[in-house]
Amino acid sequence: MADPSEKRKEVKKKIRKLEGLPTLPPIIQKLNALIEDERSSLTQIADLIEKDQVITTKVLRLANSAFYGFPRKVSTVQQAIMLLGINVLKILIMTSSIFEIISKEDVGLWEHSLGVAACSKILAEMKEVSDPQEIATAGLLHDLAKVVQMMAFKEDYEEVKRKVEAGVAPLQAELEVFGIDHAEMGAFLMQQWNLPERLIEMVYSHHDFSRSKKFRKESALLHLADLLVQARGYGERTYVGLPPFDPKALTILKVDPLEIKEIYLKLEPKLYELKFFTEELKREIT
Amino acid sequence: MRSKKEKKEIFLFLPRKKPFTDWSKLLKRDFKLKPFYKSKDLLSSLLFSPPQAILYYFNRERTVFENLLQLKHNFNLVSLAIILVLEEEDLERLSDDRILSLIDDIILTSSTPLELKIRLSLCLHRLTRISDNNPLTGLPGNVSIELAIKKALESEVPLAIGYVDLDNFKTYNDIYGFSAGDAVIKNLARILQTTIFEKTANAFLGHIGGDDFVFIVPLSMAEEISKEVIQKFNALLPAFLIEEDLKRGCFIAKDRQGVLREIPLLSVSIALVPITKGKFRHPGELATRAAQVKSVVKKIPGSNYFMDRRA
Repeated sequence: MADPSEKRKEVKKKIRKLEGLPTLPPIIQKLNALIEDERSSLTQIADLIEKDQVITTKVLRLANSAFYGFPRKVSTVQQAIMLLGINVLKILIMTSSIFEIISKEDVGLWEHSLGVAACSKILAEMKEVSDPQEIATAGLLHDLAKVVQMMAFKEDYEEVKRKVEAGVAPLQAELEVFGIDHAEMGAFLMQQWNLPERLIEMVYSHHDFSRSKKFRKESALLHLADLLVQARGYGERTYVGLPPFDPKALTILKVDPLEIKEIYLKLEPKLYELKFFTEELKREIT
Repeated sequence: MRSKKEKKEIFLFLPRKKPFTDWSKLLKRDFKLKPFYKSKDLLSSLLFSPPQAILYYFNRERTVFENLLQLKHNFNLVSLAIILVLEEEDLERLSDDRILSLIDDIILTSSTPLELKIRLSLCLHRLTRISDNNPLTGLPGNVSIELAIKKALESEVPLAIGYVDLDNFKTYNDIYGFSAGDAVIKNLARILQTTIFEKTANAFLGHIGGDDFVFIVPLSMAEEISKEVIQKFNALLPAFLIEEDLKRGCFIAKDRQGVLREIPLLSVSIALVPITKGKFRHPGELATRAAQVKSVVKKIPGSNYFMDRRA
């Protein structure tokens, strides 16, 4: 077996050189159609971009690029596309690459990310955490590194899957194969791409919010949202049971266990809506 | 010695054939070249890591060319030089004013590699001037200043950085108007330029903006230069003041509380910070020190310089 610390270095090196990530082909098709249609509003375009972690990252990365003299604090797609303008956005989407080979099952990752984004937003609104849209963005991006694994480390990614099937805990399997888990990997990539600090820290600590320093409440929130969506059985399931959960998150957020029901009641219609979107994606992939 | 990092990056979007292969061979020595053959890769790299210049073969994919112009226009990318590479017969098609307003130069495919290299270098120099220099004084602006300071921090020869600004410039502007204020700035720039470069060629002068300037000179000359600048400025000052103010020896203007009071005339303050190799690790440390020295010198009435003597 390869030395995980060596592998860790190799992974980081490869991420540093990463020019971009591919996304699902139907998402690009839909975006192109929307942008070409003169009747589309910026809000509609933003809504669609916010359904894809890859394009969202691209838009935020560009809007936070110091080269153009933008402020490095753009954390939502809405703000970003206002800064970039529709013409640049068109070029950005045009230059986006897509997965050449992708299976229906892979849409599960998008489903899960969308679910967590929706749940994070609901929690942020309930618990009055500032800027719920930014919190939703963190939810959307929390598993970004899995797209990296699918694209740049295909064989290792399969290896992780095999280990998980053989009973190894998913995070442990990642550490064994990559020497780095997907939370840290995603945060590292987001750092390379100059994304805002709050997003990076939330992603970094979403499985272990003791990693968080400045944004403890936000990190606890994402930790809980991830659990709730997995428990609901929405989207990709990496765990047979439930992912490890630190109940301190409930204390930090002041969530009463009885409130969980209320959260689910608010979340359910959102998930239903999103299901239409992701089912359409699946149909278009075959 | 020139390190690889300092080489300017040039994107090439040229067909894989002669004479372009010969061009690349020569350019490779002075520039970091990145050839592109797929338009998508080109545009994506342009977005996320723009180069200093791009050599674009005009006949290739016109929609891509449109996008390139769009990017330059939308982001106001003055510092990205677009050089069109064309065949002689394409010249006729280049009458569109919009295209001409966005590209920086053209070169014919019949040009020799050396001609191209010189054209490219000229173009880059021209752009640095236009995009960074202060429009009022023509002096290097913040990008060049930062580079000069970084270089100075590594210098083997002891240097001094001087931060120059005017006292009571805001009051002067309020009373005399902006164009008079601009004239003072322009002339302060002239005094600095001539005084510094008459003494040494090993110097840098930049205009941060407004009434703020920065110079870098050998430490041994810093005080002499400062004295001379102050002396010349004071000598020229009457030319910028009306009789009344000059006689009275102060301005009469409202202070921040809106009360009329006497405010001293224009004067120049120079904060000098000596730098020896390794004293400051990065420009931020220097900036903190400079701010401290500046606040000392600003407290002394009239034109003054102050040299930081701390280690």
